[in-house]
Amino acid sequence: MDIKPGEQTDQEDNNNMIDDIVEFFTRIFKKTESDDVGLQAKERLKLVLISDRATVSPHIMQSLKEELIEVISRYMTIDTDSIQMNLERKGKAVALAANIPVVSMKRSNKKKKGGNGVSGEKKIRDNSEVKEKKETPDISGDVIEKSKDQENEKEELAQQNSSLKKTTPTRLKRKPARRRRTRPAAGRRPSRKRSRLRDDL
Amino acid sequence: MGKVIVITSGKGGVGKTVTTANIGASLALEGKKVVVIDADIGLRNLDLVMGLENRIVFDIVDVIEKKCRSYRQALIRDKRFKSLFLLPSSQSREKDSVSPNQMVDLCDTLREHFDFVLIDCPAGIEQGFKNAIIGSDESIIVTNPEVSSVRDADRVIGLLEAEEKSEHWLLVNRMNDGLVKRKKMLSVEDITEVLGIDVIGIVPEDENVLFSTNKGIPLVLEKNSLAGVSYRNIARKLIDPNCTQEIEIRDDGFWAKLKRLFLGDRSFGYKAR
Repeated sequence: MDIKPGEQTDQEDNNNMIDDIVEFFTRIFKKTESDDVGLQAKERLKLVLISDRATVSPHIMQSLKEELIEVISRYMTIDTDSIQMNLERKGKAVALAANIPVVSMKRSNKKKKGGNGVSGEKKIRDNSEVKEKKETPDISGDVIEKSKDQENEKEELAQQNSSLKKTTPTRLKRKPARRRRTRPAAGRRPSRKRSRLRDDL
Repeated sequence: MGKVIVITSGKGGVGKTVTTANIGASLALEGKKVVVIDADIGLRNLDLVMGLENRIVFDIVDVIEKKCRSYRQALIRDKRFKSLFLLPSSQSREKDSVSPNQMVDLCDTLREHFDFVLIDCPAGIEQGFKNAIIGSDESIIVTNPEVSSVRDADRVIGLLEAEEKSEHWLLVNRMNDGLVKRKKMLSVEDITEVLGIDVIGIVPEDENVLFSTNKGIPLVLEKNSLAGVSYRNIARKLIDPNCTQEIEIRDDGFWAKLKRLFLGDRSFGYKAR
């Protein structure tokens, strides 16, 4: 058979047709994620609301920054004036990016002291756990206290590691928000944002 | 002492005015003494939706500036209901002709004489919005199942909480269950997950809304309207949050009656949530 270049054989023609048919059927029966427009809408909304809520009330970001400084400076000396922190949107996620210049490391490990003192970590946790503590009998209160300290240690270590790299990209996890009814200070976006940030600290 | 409830949304066109008119009418049907206030100064509309546009003499600005003897003179009684009154907005004045303090005073006066004071809030988050929410005890945030109105609702919730108004409910308007089943639309669960507030009711999309506003007859007076029934159930929930007795639509067509005859008395109609 003489075949000029660019001309199709019957065999190739058949293959193309089969491909077309397969594509046709997959298009009909395949349910991809992109078909779930409702889900897409929800995901997009969630992302946009994170940055909306953060930009609307800068004091939340400010207090987060202050508390972060408090925790980190227990372990290292940092240049507090040139800290940069903001929410960045990267494709399908929102990240909290912080740039914290380290001046020097502190040698002594003051973990225990920090854990017992009024640390930033604790201040936030207290809000959520006071109720829990009241409900449980006194004996188990101690246990909770201990496990809390352990948690603190872990988180602080994690923080230490990440700030060594100078950037701490933390995924802002969103809790399915149940708003707590606390009285907000005048002009401040209240509790629900706080509770969300609590997760991330 | 009555309750002052503001109906707000942030975004325009989601159904605040229709919601105000119909919840007001439903509350009146339940025997409550109700006044609905149009707080959208400069863009008067609630009167038209309720079909009372020809009876306006004085408006809210006249009451506040004391151009009429008392607020009673400006109130328009809806004759189709026993105890429904409208305080219309001014069409010729501007939003800043009312101050927040005057609005608080007005709400306090009306609260003493009515069981429910419903305020139809203007769209946006400017002065008109601030005036509308300042005197309220509770708020209903109307949203549609689409992204822009949900986003605006979130902003409004933030502003309400900043004003220490934390008693609020969500009303999802224009719900289309068919589209949700086909995963083409935000579901009520999606919306509550994102916004994190309690839902007082869901109003399905219904062409009767348009028909009734065209006629100037409140939807709740139409017997077979899904949206009308939903509004009535929402009103019952406003009166008693634990109310479980819901009105249902019964299909009284020939085939439905025949089916009931053979299969027993089941509700084939849509169960309004």
